Amino acid sequence: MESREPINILLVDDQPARLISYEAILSDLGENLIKARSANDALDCLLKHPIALVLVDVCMPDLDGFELTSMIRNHPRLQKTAVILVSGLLTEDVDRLRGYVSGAVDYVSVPIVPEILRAKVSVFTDLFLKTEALERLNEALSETTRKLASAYEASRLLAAIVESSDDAIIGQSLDGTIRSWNAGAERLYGYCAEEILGCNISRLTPPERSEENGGIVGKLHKGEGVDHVETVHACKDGTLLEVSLTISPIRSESGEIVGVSQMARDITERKRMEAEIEAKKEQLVTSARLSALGMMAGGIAHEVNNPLGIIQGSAENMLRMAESGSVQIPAILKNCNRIMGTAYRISRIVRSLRHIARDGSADQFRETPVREIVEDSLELCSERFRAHNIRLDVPAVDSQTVIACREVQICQVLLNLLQNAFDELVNSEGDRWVELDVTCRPPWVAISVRDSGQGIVPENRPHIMEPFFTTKPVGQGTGLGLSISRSIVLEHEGTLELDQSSPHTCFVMKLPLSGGT
Amino acid sequence: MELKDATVLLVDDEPMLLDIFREWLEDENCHVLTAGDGAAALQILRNHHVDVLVSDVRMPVMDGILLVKNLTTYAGASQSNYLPKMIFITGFADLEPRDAYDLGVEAMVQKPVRHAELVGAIRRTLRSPEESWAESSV
Repeated sequence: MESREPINILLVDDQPARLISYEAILSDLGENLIKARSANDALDCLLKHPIALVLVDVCMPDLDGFELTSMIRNHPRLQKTAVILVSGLLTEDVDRLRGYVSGAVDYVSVPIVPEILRAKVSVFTDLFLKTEALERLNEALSETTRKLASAYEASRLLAAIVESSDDAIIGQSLDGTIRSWNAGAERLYGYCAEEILGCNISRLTPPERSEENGGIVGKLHKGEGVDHVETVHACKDGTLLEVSLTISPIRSESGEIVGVSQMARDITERKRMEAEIEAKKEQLVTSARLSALGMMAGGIAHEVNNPLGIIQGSAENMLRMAESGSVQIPAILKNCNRIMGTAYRISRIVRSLRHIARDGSADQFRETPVREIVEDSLELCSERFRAHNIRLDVPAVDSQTVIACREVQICQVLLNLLQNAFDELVNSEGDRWVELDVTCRPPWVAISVRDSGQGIVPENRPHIMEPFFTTKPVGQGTGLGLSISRSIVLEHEGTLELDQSSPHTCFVMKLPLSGGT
Repeated sequence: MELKDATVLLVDDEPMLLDIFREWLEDENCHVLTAGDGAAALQILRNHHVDVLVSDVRMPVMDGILLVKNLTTYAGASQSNYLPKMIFITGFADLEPRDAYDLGVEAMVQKPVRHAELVGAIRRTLRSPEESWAESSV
């Protein structure tokens, strides 16, 4: 028999001698024997200790054995406690019956036969132990059942999530055999679960991409997942899908990799949108450049109109002279010189136009004197400033100051800054000026544009370089100028910043000086 | 009034153009004054009698529009009713003809300016209304 904790047996009798004799009889059982001299003592003990069996003398003063038995039976905590009644006097069948009715499991008459008592007590302690074991089993069983039920519930929920997911979720064994296939996968690829289960996952890979999977499989064998890899899959009908894949190893409880879960999301639409947005952006950049071009067109037309007038007038002068027959050489020379000088002026304007009419982003970097950039830019816009009575202060720029750049792009940035200054001032009153400055502080050259406006309000300052941020009225600015300008300057490894220390609006473009000079 | 008897004030910020226009008008034997901007023109108008004012629209310091506005305000205030005939030289989108008319400008000559157009415009403005009607009815 396996060793176990002794169980408690309570002996109740008002005669100490009887208690001692019970003890002697039962001590061989090896259980824990507790003695009580009255029903009250017994109740006290029952409430303090777990008792498996109570041996009760029927005849006791105050509370007798019958009454104690029914009190035990009626106590909810003592339901499992068995009671054996012992009596020397009341041994009739009626008495025995009364004992059973009160809840006793047995009725023993005095004189006691020790073997009988021992056997009876042993039977009931066994019964108690077995009941307890059963109860424990039952408890464990219901705990397991509960756990199973909640696990089932959880897995059902998971299955529902997998099933209702828009993404394709595919379970595979390590060799790539498809083991599970959700409704999302069915929708995405067109295969139903029955026809695809058991097939290899490579069926989804278009033939021309079959080598791409090698890397993924290798990673998975090392226990690493693959997150949001974009690739192309083939549907049942052969159409190609752009998908984003998330692949993760499935581990057993012991941590061993037993399979692979693959989640695929259709990103064809997203890709299309991205391409569309990219195209729109390019259009906007072009239209930003064209709108700058449009705004300057007026100034340029004026700028070209005057020289044209000079050429036309001079030509007419010579024509009239020829018609009248009195050709004077000095007058001819004067008119010709006018025409030549003016034609050169026009050619310079036309030359400077290339800076805004062209993209220039693919040009080679070339060593360019800053003076040339400043002069070309001014050629395009000084007329507008002059025509609107905005003073444009320009310093003399040292011709030795040279930067390696895409000249067209740096001109565009400078024109954008001048344009912004112009837009800021054109509708304001008072003394209006724009100051261009070129400061050489090796290894940098700083080209700054400052205007007499009130500056940019602090809450707008963090946003001015953001694409599409504009304070200009609708239709006047695309909000792209500064953001494009800044990216151009960054490509030149320079910076374009708002000088926060200036009380006026002042933008500073810093570019690295060319090392060659 | 004949062109040869008239005093014409040319206002343009482009010296070479001023030079050419002056040559044209001096060939017609009229008296020519020149100014590089509106403010300088206003100064001349205060001290000289001018029959015809020929002005560019876009100019630094004071443009043609402001010059004409100043001139009409000044004429109204002095009650002299003296106001030269006014001709604008206009380039690309400088001014709508309607706005020029509202300003009291009698003619607009488009850039680039041709000899015949400028001389013709000045000649026409110098004629009395009766002469103009006679010409248009021919």
